[in-house]
Amino acid sequence: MDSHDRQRELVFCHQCSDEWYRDEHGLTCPACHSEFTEVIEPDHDPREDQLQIPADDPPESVPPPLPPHPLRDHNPWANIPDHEDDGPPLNRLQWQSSGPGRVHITGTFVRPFSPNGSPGARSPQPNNTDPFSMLAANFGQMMQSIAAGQVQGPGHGAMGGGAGAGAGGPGVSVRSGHGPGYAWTSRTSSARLTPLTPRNANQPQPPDVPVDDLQRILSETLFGPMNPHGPGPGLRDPSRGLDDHDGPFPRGPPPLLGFLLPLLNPANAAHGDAVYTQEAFDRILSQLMEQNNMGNAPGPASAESISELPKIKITKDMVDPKTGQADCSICMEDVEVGGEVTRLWCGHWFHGECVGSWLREHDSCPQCRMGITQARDQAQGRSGANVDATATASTAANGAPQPSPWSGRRTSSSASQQNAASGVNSPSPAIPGAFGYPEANADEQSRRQSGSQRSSHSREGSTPGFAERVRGLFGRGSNSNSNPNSDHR
Amino acid sequence: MALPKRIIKETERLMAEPVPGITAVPHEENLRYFDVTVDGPSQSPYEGGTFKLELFLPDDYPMTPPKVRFLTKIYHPNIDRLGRICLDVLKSNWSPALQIRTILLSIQALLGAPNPDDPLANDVAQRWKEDQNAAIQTAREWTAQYAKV
Repeated sequence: MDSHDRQRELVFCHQCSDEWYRDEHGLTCPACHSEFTEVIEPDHDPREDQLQIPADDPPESVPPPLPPHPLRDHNPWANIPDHEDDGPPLNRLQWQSSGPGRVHITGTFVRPFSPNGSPGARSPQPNNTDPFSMLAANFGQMMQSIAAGQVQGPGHGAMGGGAGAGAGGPGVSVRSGHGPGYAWTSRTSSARLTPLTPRNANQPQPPDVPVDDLQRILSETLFGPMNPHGPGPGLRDPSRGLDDHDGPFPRGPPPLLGFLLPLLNPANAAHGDAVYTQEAFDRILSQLMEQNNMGNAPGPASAESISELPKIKITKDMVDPKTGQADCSICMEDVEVGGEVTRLWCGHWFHGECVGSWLREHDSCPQCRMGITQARDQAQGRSGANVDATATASTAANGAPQPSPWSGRRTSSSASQQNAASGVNSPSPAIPGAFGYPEANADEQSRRQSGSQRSSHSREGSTPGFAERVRGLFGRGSNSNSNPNSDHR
Repeated sequence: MALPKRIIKETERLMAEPVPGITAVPHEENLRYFDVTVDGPSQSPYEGGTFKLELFLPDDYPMTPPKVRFLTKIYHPNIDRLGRICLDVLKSNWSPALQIRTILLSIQALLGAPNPDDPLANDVAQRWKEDQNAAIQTAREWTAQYAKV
């Protein structure tokens, strides 16, 4: 061969990769007429740079046989140390030159198909170069790995050609693989994973050798590593975090659909609108109750109507004649004669700031629940003088029991409007002192008999409400000091 | 956050002029949190029982009502098994002129006048309506079992 090569020089065209004998066509490419050619020498083969691999069967038409290609017997994996303890044997590796500069490699990997990568029963995959079959086979393997452990980040042992590779360490096996369009790596702790173990009737076995079954795979898929000493973490202790394993197992994100875990945690068993446990239901119900705490309460009063409220000076007859004191029933701070307060249309007065912050949320007098917007409309509809007369009318109203606007608030907005209206339209305007509170020592029996402290169902519009009585007993009605009949303490 | 003067005043008055049958003691470390006891009203199935409650004054109190919850198990159509109370003045009928004292009196009165038509504990309310005597008997038993000191 060597003598033959020396006799006839082979020329290589860098343009079209054609080859010919120099003594036949010279140094110009006979195919593309390029002059970018080179004589192939034994110690320098330009075809190596192009990774040109000659076809297996040189054309018969060429009289002398082609020299053997230097890469013909080259195995790119030959010198790579096989760190895989269970490297995939390659069967029927085939090389085909499918064109200039291209090599098509096909082959079949025969791999043991066991969950932890230990040499088990080897089940050869079908000798099939169909990429979909390869993909399907590897997907099955990948799913097994996922079911058994967790997907991990970049790993080693990746091999081209769409095959999986397994690497074993003490108690840990790493799998990875990639192929056209996909790549995966998984790590499996065999301390946690129990592979499919055939029964061995000849040797004693621990009593609780688990066998891979659907339930286990599912639970591990859903829960991640499972503590063998207890149920899933979500079922064991609702107060603990989901990935708060106390076992000697590696921690990591749940392998699959971590968002499902909250569903199975009793402390958090809600997903969207659905709840799955009584606790979760209670929690959501509490939330709703909180949110709608004031749901039925009157809405806010307009800033305009709040700003229209008259500001008055505290006069002597507005304070307790004995102590000379009065306080704002919202902040419970004392007010003094001459101090400025804001009076609502119903006649109750408060610190402007205090009542303003309340009215901005609820249009309702803190004392009698009359809305200021509507009371103003009513009052203005009648006559402006009537409102001004309220303070002076209070003495006339003393001791005359009135239908309490308070009691009527609980039925409905329309009823409360009626009550409010009646309060305004009544001969004596609704002045705190004019409500005719029961005596301060109104006995508990009457309070209990009323049974009307709770809700609209039992509340009679004509009987003084419980809260009102309580306020008469303990609360300090703002204007009540002006009423000698009202024992506010 | 400084404690509003109103809360201090209310607490002082609760101490100085306690309501018969009701105690409310603030926690030392959190003056907005009260340990409450309410005696069952006489001539009610809860008579003789002392019921523990917790009461918390939110940050925006008195613009929002106190949060109150029974800690003692009680059989009542308007109190559920978590101790939550269905009481209008604790919710939509709250008013800033109401106080801890008045709220606790309302709760005590609620014990004396259950309202099964506006239930929170549905099963209890159902039984209360269907067989009031049996329901009251159960309430007595629960009182004896859980609310006796």
